Amino acid sequence: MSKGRVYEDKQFRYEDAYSGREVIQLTNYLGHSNHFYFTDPCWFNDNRSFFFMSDRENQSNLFRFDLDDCKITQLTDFDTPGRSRGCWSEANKRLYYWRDQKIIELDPETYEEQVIYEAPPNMQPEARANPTADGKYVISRLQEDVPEAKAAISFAYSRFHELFHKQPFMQIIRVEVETGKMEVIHEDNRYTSHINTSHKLPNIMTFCHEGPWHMVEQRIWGLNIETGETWKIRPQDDGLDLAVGHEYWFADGEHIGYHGAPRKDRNSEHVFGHIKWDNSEHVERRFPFRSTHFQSLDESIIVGDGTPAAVFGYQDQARPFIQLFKWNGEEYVGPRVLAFHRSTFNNQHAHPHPRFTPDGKYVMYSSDLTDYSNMYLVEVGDFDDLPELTDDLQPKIT
Amino acid sequence: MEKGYVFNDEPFTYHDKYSGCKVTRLTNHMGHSNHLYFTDPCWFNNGRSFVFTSDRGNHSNLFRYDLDTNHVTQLTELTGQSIENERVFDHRPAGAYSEANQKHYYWWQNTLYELDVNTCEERVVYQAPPDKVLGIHGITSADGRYVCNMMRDKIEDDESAIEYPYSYFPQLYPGKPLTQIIRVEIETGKMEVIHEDRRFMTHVNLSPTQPEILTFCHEGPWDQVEQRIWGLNIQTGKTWKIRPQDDGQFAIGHEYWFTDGEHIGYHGRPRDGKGDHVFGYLKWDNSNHTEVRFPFHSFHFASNGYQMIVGDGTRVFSKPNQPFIQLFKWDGEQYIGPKIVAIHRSTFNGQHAHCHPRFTPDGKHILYTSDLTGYANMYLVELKDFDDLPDLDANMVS
Repeated sequence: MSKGRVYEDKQFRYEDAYSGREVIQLTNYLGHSNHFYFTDPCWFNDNRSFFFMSDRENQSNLFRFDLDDCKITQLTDFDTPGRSRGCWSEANKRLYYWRDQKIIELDPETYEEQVIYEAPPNMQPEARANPTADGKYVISRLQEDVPEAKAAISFAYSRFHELFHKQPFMQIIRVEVETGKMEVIHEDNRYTSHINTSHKLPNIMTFCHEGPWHMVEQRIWGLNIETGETWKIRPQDDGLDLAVGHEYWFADGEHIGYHGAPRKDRNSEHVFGHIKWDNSEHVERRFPFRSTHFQSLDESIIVGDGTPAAVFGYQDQARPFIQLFKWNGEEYVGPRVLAFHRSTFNNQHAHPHPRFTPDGKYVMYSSDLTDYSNMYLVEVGDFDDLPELTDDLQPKIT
Repeated sequence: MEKGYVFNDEPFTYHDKYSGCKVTRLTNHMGHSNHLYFTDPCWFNNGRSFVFTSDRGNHSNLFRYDLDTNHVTQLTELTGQSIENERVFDHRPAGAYSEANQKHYYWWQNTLYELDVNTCEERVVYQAPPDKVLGIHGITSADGRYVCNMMRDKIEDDESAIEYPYSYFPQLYPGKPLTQIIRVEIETGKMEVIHEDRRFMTHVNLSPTQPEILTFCHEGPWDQVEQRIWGLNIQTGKTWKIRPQDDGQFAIGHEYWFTDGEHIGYHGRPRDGKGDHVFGYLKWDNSNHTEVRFPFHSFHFASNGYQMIVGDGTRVFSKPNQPFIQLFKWDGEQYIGPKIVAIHRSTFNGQHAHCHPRFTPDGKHILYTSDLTGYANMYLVELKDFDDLPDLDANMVS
């Protein structure tokens, strides 16, 4: 298939069995479809459209979804293995992504693509090519190639521990969009990922020291794109011994949300926090329920994705629910059940990664409950009308 | 694609990191590929080819896999929706190969088809009433004269609810639908009801050597089903309990025929879910019964005889997290093991991701399915000497 092909996946609307909210299944194909990672800008066209990834005709490509007519339009014609994801630049009205060692700029209206940078063959790019708020640069990370000793089957996180311990050489790069000029703005011998630029501050971004959370000394870092200055964000040498991560920018581009747990016991009570990029205005609260990811537009209401579904087995501690927490001025109340996702978390395509729509009225998430990952949209509505997620609320069957 | 289209999925060979066994991933497509349920005959061409199910081009179809060429050949051109008795195999064809007739038999939209796996020619054998729901299995009697299957009333509602594996079980077990075991004469298409009951019944398994004997089961939550395994004489309609559960101690199931067509293997657990599991086998007339306690859990066990059995352990991300294909060997008094053959790391998300390990007819390899790479694919692992395999102990997790 080719660029511009329009798919009209049959929409399916149903009432969530736990919350009563209407859920809309947006995609329906015998191949995975999932939205971008929850930190990566995807909304455009006055927030009536978004980008996503989908595997169709045995090829992974980038697509746009238009909410007004529910049409799915193929944007790329990849012919090599791998799944690309992108980041939208509102300033440039272009999508940026890596493919075959190249950073590519895509116009979602004409499907025109332009190569703006090609990485050396011995350096592996991070998944994100993240534009700065002013659209002047695209930021990403290169990492020295670490060959595998022998043929091995590759699956989610299969080299995660190895790369953490290997401490590969890496560079955070800044590519000028207009010229393609690349400059290294930070380098280290360390497994590094999660390149997140502020949506508002053109010179500020975060990155992380990657690896098993309980073993990483300091996860979240700030980086000044102009000066190369780095600093700890939510410093972890405060004696609380918390492992934190999954950091994301609030919509204001000033504050950063995150969550975590005690390093020594990840199953004990968790924390959710937010902090300004310069470490001021820090709020951190204990949390009674675990989620793998949290996301929000600001501090007022946050969404979590609970746990993987305990499919074909005893439910035990499984809480595979999209859930909401609300700030009451002193603490987060909740969680309230918004929807039953029942996703396996098999890999990134099946991580629900719930995220609010820009107007805050809906939550979008992905789930592979129907055997293939699809995207779902559920209305937030009145928080107080939602059922509480309590210890005795277990999925009836998965 | 059309019937006869040959896909050349590139096989990928590696050595399992736990056992060192040589594993070959046979398929590689952005759609699920899985072999038939482990009780359904699939092998033909002297054990060098088998029938399987795969989703390609946004449709589920039947394919053949030729081990000598690694060719994947499409056998059917199915479209649309098809629901089945258990509501866990919905919309994907399966069926069973008949060695006696050298044909494959499968159900699609209430129609029984006979398929020639060499020419892709198909013939309608029988059309069931449209208001009935048929089982997924299409096993012939050992003499090739009949196909037997479940046929029940449709009692589940069509309300707008999201469908996922086992989501209909809570309706079907207490719903006690009128279910009939039907016998379809292949030559004439004549259908006769040979047993009926108001009960959720599944798993019609015909003996591979005795033309008149089959097993079926009373389906439902294992701890609640009074008597799971039943025998049925397809000529007389006589039924009898197999491995009677009158003692109330164990919940058992996943029954399957040994290749001798005389003995039936099964496994189970105490009804209260506590304590060691059991594996057992007995002759269809309840003689020659052997049952032993088992220290390790597997969702499914399979074997060609009593000497060596294979289990699939747990799904990934469960507690304990032991997603290993594992072997047990009869030493004359007890089963020793388990020994690790391979890590499968499958989610068990739906039937497509249940490993369902099964021996090749010569007993030298094990075929299993896993979705560890994001899509379900089939894997063939070459067995080493049992004593050369590593032990699976309680402390070993993936």
